[in-house]
Amino acid sequence: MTHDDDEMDALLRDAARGYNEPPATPRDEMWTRIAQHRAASSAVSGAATSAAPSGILPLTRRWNAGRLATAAAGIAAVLLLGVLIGRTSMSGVRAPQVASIRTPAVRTPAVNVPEQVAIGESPESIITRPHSPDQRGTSATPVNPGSGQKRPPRGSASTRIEPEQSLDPQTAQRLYQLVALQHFGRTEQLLTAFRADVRRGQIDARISEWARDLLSTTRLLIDSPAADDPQLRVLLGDLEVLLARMAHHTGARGEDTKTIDDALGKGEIMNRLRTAVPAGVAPEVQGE
Amino acid sequence: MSDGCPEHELLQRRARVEERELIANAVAGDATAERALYDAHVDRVYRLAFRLAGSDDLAQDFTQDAFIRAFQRLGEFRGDSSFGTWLHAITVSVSLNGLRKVKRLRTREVGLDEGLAVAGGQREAEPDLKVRMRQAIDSLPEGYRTVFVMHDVEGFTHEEIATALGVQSGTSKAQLFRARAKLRVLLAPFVTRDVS
Repeated sequence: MTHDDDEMDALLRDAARGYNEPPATPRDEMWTRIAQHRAASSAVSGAATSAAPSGILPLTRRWNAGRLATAAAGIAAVLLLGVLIGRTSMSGVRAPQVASIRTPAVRTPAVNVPEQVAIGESPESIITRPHSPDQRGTSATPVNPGSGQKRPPRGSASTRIEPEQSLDPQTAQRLYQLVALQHFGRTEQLLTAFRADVRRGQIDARISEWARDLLSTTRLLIDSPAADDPQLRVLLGDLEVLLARMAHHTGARGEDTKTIDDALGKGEIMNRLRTAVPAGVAPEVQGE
Repeated sequence: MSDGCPEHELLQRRARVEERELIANAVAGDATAERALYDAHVDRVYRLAFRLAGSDDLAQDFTQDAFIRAFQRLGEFRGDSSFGTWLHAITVSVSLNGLRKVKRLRTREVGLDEGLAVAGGQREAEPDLKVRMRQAIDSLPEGYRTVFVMHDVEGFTHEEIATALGVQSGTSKAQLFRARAKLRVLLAPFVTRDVS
């Protein structure tokens, strides 16, 4: 670099100071808009407590906001499954004619699982039906090797049952699937009703209450230890978002109605719900 | 930027501690802490955005966007660099992306060839060196222009520029060198005339 270049650079620097010279900073104007934007986004985040299908809400925020709720839901899910499994086992001991499965898709030879499940049935009704005679030999009660006789359960009373029998992971998985399928059926009904309302131009205010009810079940299913199917988890996650939006829906037809309707269309939730029910299971689950 | 004076260093250290507290409070949702961080940095952010954008509307948009993003991602700030440097990195990113969008919309990007024309035949019609300077800087490639504006116009160090742009400080120096060389070529006729 020559002396002339240095001189030139100095001149350029002087001239450059006037390049796009900024005026006084409009601090308050900008802060007002920043605060408004932040307030609006927190309101939106509060309305939808989890991410959109692609994940709108940052994980950290979701964790902070829903930490206790998630933990509580997890505990509740464990309890729910425990109760279901426990009742299955207890009813299996009390009544020798324990429910079994006729449906290939839900049948398992080692467990007591209901043969037919209708949407809306309670878990009690699912698990206390008599099973067919050809399935009696497949009861969960262990058999004494060599004797061919059922081994009496440990403990004094015949009503006691071994914990390892009731905690069969396959049983838990089957029950989980059945509950999930029932839930999908109910969710589909809600979404159909919502879309019908959208077309009619008037949203029933009870939709949000219905959605709230289904939202809690969705969260229980998501947080259940038996939820090991990744596809099911994704579907449940998407449903959670959608139901959260619907749960906070005011009932008035407006921007959020359009958002929910769009989300329903874009995510193809209805199709996914319908295909989530395996072909071999669907009629039985729906009580046909 | 430090003058090496112990008192100055002490003040800087205290400011860093206070800033860390502010950041922690802002992460916890304290709006007052957010405002304090905003007040401490908004001038420099706005100046930088304005220098890059050349318009008050755009500069305000970029400044707001930079702060909104910074507050949203404050939990991710690890303190490897100063908060200011981190914020400037966001500002530069927001501004450059915003300018690209604006240019695409306006479809009137000023190319280097057009910039060279500044030094061409219409010399007599453009008497003002500042006007020529503005046109010449605008005509620089984006990387050169950003480094030139940050270093020669706004006084950022090469280390700060490197962190903000995600490059090595050597790259920043090289780009500044090339930017100046181009400006010398573009403005030589006017500088010599003004000097004479």
